[in-house]
Amino acid sequence: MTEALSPALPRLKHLAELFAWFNAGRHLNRVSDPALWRELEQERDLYQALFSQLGYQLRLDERGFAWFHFDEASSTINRTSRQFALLFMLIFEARADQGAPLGGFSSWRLDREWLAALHEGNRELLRAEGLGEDDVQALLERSVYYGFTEQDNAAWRLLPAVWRYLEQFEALAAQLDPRVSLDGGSPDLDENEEPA
Amino acid sequence: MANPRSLVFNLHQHWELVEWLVQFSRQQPAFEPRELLDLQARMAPQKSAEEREAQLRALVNADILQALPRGEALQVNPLVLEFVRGLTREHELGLSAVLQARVQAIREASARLLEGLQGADTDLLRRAAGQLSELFRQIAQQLDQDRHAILELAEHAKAADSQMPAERRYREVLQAYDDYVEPMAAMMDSGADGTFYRHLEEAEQALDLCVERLSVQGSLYTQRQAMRQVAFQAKELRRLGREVLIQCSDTLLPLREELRQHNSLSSAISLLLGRVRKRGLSHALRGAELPLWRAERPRRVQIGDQLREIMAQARDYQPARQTFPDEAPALADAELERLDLNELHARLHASLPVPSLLAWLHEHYGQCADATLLRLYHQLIAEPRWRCEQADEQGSTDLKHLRVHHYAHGLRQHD
Repeated sequence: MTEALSPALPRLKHLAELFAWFNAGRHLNRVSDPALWRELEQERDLYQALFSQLGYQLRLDERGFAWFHFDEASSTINRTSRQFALLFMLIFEARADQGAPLGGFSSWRLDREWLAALHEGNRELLRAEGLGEDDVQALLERSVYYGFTEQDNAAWRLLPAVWRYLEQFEALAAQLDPRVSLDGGSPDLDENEEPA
Repeated sequence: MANPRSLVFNLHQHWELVEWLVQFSRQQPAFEPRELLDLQARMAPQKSAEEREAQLRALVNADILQALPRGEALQVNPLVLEFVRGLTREHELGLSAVLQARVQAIREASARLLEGLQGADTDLLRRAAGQLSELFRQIAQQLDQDRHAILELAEHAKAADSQMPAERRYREVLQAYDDYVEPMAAMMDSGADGTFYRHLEEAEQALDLCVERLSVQGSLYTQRQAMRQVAFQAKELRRLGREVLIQCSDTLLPLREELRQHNSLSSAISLLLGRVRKRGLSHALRGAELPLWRAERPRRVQIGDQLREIMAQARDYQPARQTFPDEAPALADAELERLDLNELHARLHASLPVPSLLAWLHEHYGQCADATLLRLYHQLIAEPRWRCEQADEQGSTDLKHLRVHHYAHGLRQHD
């Protein structure tokens, strides 16, 4: 396999850049990094084979995003990912209340005023999770780094990588029997994470 | 009863107003004369009140506008409505049931055609072919109109205010899909349940058989040609039906899917947020495979010894042999140059001043090797006990094997 890959390696002009990108836990989005995406898409099989030899799982989604898939992570990262999930859920709930079709999230423009109103409307919930207004801003800035959002003139846009969260929301909601969720426990789910 | 010439002439004269009225008829089936005059004033503010009233009268006289039985309200003549909508492609979506009824009628007309053929009833043949042709024409017209109506519905939904709740925004799209596209897809199904292709195929076969028989019987060319044209119509209709169905599905399906996804996402998120509010984030999202990543760590790759070995085997590498030198015998005492430095210092001190130290060394210690003399030379010029001066001009001193070109150092006593 390695012999088969070697002659093709010079074709991968952005190999170092892509590896550093994915290895940092970042998502690559077609809309925000078209040049890198183009090479990744053109040499998809080669990249996947190469990264797989190095022990990484490169995944590409047809909706235009790619990432290194990890099944486990540290408790800090678990917590950050949960906070991202909460932030995205609140954003989507607010937009759904405004009647926006949720599938078209990539065209939303979330400016500071809108986010301040979002925070104001969910102050109690965010405070319970230890997130003040500044923390929400900081969280959004971190989400830019990981490729879930992009900043654009003092406003944020959600990037297609957010689909990863949306799919999980749907999957988790499908797992939950609404009747179970309203009363006490959820016996079908296991505790498999470290406490944050 | 309207005079067709006058109707068409007035349609030409007042086309802009009529076109507007036809569009407004979607929202409002009838208009009060006052509303019509207001609309005219908005459209053509330069016209006087008399001119506007005259225009209205002309439309009523030409039967483009018809008075409703009760009250003064006026409506657009249904014939004109249909005609203008057809021309401007502003049709409402038709009923799939009408389409189905017409497709059903094809079957009956085909049966009559075959009956006429068996009974050699030319008149029945001509009438059945005429019916088929009329049905094909009506179906093709409706399909074409419906296609445009569906495209317009989709455009309307997409262009609607994005603040409008998605359910309301896509209500017409969903209705069109359920009431029109799905029944049409069932009708055009190529399996046993689909009637469209089956009936059309039967009609085509009947028509082809008819053309063949007429040729054998030696009937009139015009009669055969008419039959053949109807058969072409049937073939064309099959293509059109398929095309319209694909276009309608392609237009409406993504919107329907978008709404379905919106609903599913919105209810999932509401459910999860409800749990987060009650039980906290980590508890509510337990079991979710949220995106994870690893903290960035620099990685280094180093080739292991085993790999080196494998590579050496692969390249059949033979390391070059390096033999260590044998132990050399210790130098005999006699071979070492032994010098009494104290004696040398004393002799040198006695000879001061010395203009060229190297020449003096060569003169008094000429038996020593050149390297020894040069080492002594460098040691002696660094000694602080005498003063060292360097010549301004370059000179040369011959040793045993070497000739040294240098600015000679001379020594003399301190002042």
